[in-house]
Parts: sequence; C-alpha cells; structure tokens
Amino acid sequence: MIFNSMQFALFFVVVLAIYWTLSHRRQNWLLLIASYAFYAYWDWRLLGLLIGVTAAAFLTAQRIDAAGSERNRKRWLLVAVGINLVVLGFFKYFGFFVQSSHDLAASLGLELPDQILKLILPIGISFYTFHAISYAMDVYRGRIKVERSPVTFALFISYFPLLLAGPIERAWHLLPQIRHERKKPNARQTYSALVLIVVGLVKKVVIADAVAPIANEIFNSPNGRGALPLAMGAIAFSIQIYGDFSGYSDIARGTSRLLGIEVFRNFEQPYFSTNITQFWRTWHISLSTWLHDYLYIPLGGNRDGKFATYRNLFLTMLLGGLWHGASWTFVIWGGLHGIALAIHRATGAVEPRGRPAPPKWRNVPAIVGTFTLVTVLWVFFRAASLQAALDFLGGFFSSPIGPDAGAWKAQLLVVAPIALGVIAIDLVDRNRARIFPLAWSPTVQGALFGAACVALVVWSGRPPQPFIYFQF
Amino acid sequence: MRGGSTTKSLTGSRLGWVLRFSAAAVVVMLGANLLVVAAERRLPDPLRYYSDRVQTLVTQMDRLKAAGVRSDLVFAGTSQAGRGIDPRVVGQTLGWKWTGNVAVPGTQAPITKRWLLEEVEPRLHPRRVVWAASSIDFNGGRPDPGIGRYNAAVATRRGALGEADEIFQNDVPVARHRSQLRNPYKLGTALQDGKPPTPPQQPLSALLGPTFRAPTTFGGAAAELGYMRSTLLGNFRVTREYLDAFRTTLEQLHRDGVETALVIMPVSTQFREAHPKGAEQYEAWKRLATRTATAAGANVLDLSRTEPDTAFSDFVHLNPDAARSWSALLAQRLAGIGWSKQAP
Repeated sequence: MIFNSMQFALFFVVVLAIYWTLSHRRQNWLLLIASYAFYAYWDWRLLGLLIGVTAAAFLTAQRIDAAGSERNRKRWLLVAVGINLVVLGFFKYFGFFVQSSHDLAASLGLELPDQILKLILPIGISFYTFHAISYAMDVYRGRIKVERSPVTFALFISYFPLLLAGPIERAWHLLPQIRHERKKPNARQTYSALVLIVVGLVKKVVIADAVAPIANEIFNSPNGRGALPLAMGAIAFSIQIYGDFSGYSDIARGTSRLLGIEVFRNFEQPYFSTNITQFWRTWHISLSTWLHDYLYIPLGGNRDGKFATYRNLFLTMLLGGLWHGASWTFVIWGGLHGIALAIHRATGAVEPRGRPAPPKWRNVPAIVGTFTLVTVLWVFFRAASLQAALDFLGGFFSSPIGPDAGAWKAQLLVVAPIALGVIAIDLVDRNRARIFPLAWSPTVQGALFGAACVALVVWSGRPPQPFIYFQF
Repeated sequence: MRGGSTTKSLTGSRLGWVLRFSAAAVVVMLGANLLVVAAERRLPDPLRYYSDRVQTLVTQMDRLKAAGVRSDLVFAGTSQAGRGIDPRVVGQTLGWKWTGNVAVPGTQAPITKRWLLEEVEPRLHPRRVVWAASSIDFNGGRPDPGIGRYNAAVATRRGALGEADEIFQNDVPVARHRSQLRNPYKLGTALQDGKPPTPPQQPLSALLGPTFRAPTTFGGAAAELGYMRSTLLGNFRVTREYLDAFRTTLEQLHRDGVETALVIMPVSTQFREAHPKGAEQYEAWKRLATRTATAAGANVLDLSRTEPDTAFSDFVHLNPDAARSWSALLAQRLAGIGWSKQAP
C-alpha cells in the first residue's frame, strides 16, 4: 500500500473519517492500529520486529530515566542504542558483510562455503530504528521526559505517514503532539494539507515516475551510449530521486496535517544549492540533522581542530552512505560527499543555517556546478555495482551522442520539460514567503489544480512505482 | 445583526472562492480533453494491452475465433520464440493447418501464464501448446519484470479498480490516450503523420505469424552483451513464483485436455556464459525446467545446442534464415513425439 495507490487513498479516507469523531485517547489507538495494519499490509511477519523494537526502546528508556547514577544511565543508553544497531545491522548488513567476506576470500583464491543467510530487509527499518535511537539519546540527554504510555510511544515509533520513509522525526517534536489533544485543522490548514498531497503526488507520479523508465533504461545498459545520453540518464535519476523522495515527504506532511500533526519539512529545493554544504542542509533534512546531532557532534564535531572536523565530516557522511544501503556503492557515495564537504569547509566558506535565500542570476554558475557534482555522485548511488558506476562514468568520455540519436531525442523531450517543471515548482517554493502561492487568485489556483489533475491522469494507469527510499 | 451579516459575507466570499476555483479547474480539464478529442482523428488507436504486439495478436485471435477456427498448435514464449519459430514451416511439415506463434516480446513465466490461460486458450482452444523457453522466461531477479505492466494494462487489469479504470479510459479522452500523451516525441510524430492507415486484412491462414526482424545494431556487441548481462539475465535466479507460474500453466492446460511441450530454445555460447554464475547456472536451469515440465505432464525437447553461434543475430535471437531452417528441425522433433497429423 503505497501513497500513490488507490488502496492507500481508501485506507486514509476511512481512517480520517473515523479519526475526528473520536476522543484523543481513542484517536491514538486508531492511529496505532491503522499504523500496524498499514505495516502488516506489506508483510505481516515483520510486524513482530517492529513491535519488538518498540518494546525494547520503551523499556530501556524507562531504565535510563530510573537509573540512579550517571554510569547506569550511560549503560542503559548503550543497551538501547545497541539493540537498535544490532537489529539494523543484522537485517540490513549481515548479508553484505558475508558477501564481502566471500568476495575477499575469492580474490585471495580461497573458496568459502556458499551458504549466505538470505534475509528479507524489513521495510522502513532504517527509519524506525533511528526514531528509537534518537528517543533514547534525547531521554538520556534530558531533552525530553520519558514517555510512560506504551500506546503513545508505540505510535511515535510506528506512525504510518512516516513509518516507511520518514521524515525521521524527533521525540521532542512528535511525542508532545501525540501526547496532547490535537486541534482539528481549520479550512486554511486543510487546504494547505491538500495542496501538499497534490504537489507530492505530482512530484511522484508526473515527475519521478515519468523519468524513471529513462533512468532505468540508461543505467541498466549504459554500454555503447554516447556521453550526452549518459549525462541525461544521470540527470534523469537526479530528478527521479528528488521527485520521488520529496513527493513522499510532501504527502507524509499533508496527510499528517489532516490528522492534526505537523512533521518536519524534509527538503528545501536542494538543487538550487550553491555549494555542497548548502545541499546537505536542504536535502533529506531530517536525516542530515539526525546525523549531525547524533553522530557528528558525539564524534567531536568541529571542537577539536581542523583536521578532526574534516575527519568527522568524512566519517559522518561515510556512515550516512552506509545507512542508505548495504553496498560499497553507497559507502563510496557517502565517502565522496564527506570529502566534498571537508574540502568546502577547508576553503573557509561559511554557510549560514536556516532557509536559503531565493536564487539570483549571479548564483547560476554555482548552482550548476553543485548540481553537476551531486549528479555525478548519484551515479555511484544508483549503479548496480562499483564497476557499473565506473563504466557509466567512463562513458562520459565517449562520443557525444552515440549510435542511437533517435532514442536520445525522444528521451530528451521527456526529461527536458520535466526538468523545467521541477525548476518552476522549486522556484515558487523557494519564494513562498514573498509570493504566497496559497494567496493567489482562486482562478489561478483552480487552473493549476486542473492541470495537475490532467497530468496525474496522463501519468497514472501504470503499475504504481514503489518509492526509492522504501528499500533503505 | 452585525455578526450575522459578517458570517454571511464570509460564507459568501468562501463560496465565491470555491466556485471560481472549481470553474477554473473544470475549464482546464475540459479544455485538455477537448484538445485530445480534436487530435484523436490523427492519433493511433490507444493501447489497451501490454504491448502493440499483444494488441495485434488479440485482434488476430478474435478474427480466428469469430471464424470458428480451433488452433492445432500454438507456440508461446518470449521474443526468442517470436523471432525463432515460423509456424507455417512447422505446420506444413506436421500437416496442421492452424498453427500460430503467439509469443510476446518482453514476457516471462507469470505473463505467459496469464496470456496463455486468459487470452489465448479461450479464443483459440488449441489442441497443442509449445512453451518455447530459455532461462530468460524464469529469471525472477530481472530488474525490469513486465508483469506489473501486464497487470496494469486496461484490458488485463483485474478487480474493481481495474474495471473502474477501464470505464474511466473509455469515457475520458485524456485517459484513453495517456500512453501517447506521455511520449511527446511519438505524439509529435503521430500528429504530423496522421493516423496510420489500416493494413489490408490478411487471410486467416496468414495470421499469428512469426516476428522476424533484422539484427539490431544499436551499440554493437558490447552493448548487446551488457544488456543481456544486466537486464535479461540480471540478478539471475529462478524464483518460486516464476517456477510455479510455469508449472501451474502446464498443469492447467493438461487438465483442459491440451497436449503440452517445453521446447528449450537454441542459445548462443555467449548467452550461456552471460549468466552470473556462468554456463553451469544455465544448465542447472535446464535441469530444473525439464524436471518441472515432465512432472506437469509435458513433453520436453532440448534444442538448446542445435544452432552455431553464427545463427544468432544478437546472442539471444536467431536470425531470420536460421529461424526458418531451425523451425523445420523443430517440426521433425515434434513429429518425433507424435505431434504430426499422420501420427497414429
């Protein structure tokens, strides 16, 4: 049941229709049951793991809170974090390490028994274990009070709009909203929530899914293509992953808002970034701030001198890359981003926090440069293997068009208008404080809504494409 | 009094806002549909099935059905079968008039199952079915499996949502032509060229022919090999779902009184070696497919090594000349299992 399916639409309408007729306590019960049903729809066998992780996080946090000494508090924090890392490591990385050992042994001429434990990757595990870790650390740091209600806590971990692909919420932000009575959204909030859902659907169905076949085709068989078709394939993937993930986040925010819950904004037009640091402050914000707070800062942040700062940046991004998936391509992707961040830091450039200013014409070269760097690095992220990524990048030095000019033209005619559409949407979004899109005349908004409906009709009717980040 | 009037005015302004919003949305949606209606005369017929080839085959099978033809022998499979088997050659050798090639490019076992049991069998009521396969049909790890698209096509979509979508597509021009609207290049060409002329109607005996094609040259051998390794045989593994689709299809045909045979298609040396674990993986697949087909009551003909590498246009498909000569060999082998008209 994915956000862009009719099943989810029916599921959500039923939940929403019942939700606002109930008392606060019963609303939480309904959301918890709905969240578990939503998760079980994917694979009911994995529900036990979700409940197990929730129970462990709940109980260990009680222990952290009740521990008399700092030593015991720390011990229970390590238990809490350790449980989540073991679960994550076992389900997500065990096969990767076994396979890597096999490959290493094979390269040394040794043959290990071919008995690799095949595990299914529980969907959303990277997201809900990170929820649980941040909760334990925030309780330990005294940033939040321990949650005494198992229902409230279970809902914090498994809240269905965020369960499969975030945004990764923090306990200090989400728990109080679950704990306290929620206000029914007024007409303006309801409208803005619906706009978020429609924009999210357009980003997913009309933008990401439209360019996905082109990116897939080029990444699946890059050999023999010219440099420009390969570059277009890489750009198509840049657009796909952005539309896919930010679309998901918008739908998550919109559906949450209809339930009276505000969740983090996860993207701030990252492809308008003028440098790599700004990119990471605007891309998957909930993960990058999580890594900053719970990895970069505990590693020492920028407190121990320049070299330590560069090392910490590199390590944080390396582990951030590994978080995305059990593959060397993700590790290298993260590591290269870490190096780029360290180099940017070494230049002495200071990137202010907060929402970036609207782009100006003079920023265009920096924006294009940053986008090019990010797009080249996406090749490692998307390619099936390290060798495939290197082959793909090697193709950039071949003839410009390659043998199939007709196919290239056809693909360009899909990718180019969609790229312009992304730029238009993001320009409006970046300038939202100045031009107030929701205050535009109803005729303009209605026409845009009509156009969005037409586009959704044109681009629907194919099998719903799962969101890329579900695999993480 | 004053409060009442303010409320009334707010309600009024909100209603006005909603009306203007709705009117603009409706105008845009209607306008888009009117544009499509205006262009509809120049657009090719919308695609209702998995692919153009499937749509053509369904039209041809409907003609045969309307003429009361019952098929003597049909060949199913992927493009390997489509481009490798000439049913006329086989039919003439075996003495059967109604032989047809209903292979569909880009299919795999789960699609072939639905295609054979839901579309081919009810229309042609074949007496004999050959599933002409290679390991491609069974690769459950393929990165671009087609079954999702097959299940999402208007005519083959199941359930209430499928029926609703079919009604929607029939009644809304934008939805009806969405596959063309998604591709601006094809759309532009179609609008420029106009609706393709209806091809002259072929005689019934010429329907369901092979899909011989000249060798593709895109990207050369390296690209072909790359595509074979990364896509056709990418992440090669025979999953239970694919094997079950194969087995249950043969079993169902058997229950329906249809004679069945698994023909293992000729493949090139490069094809065998392109499996992630080398040629041994291909041989392991052959043993598994043979065992499964035999258990399901099907005959098995292994013709995988009958053709030299020079007979292939692109490592995967036989070239047209080789396909014709190999079809004659296939006919002899089918005669050998008693499938000829003269057989007792």
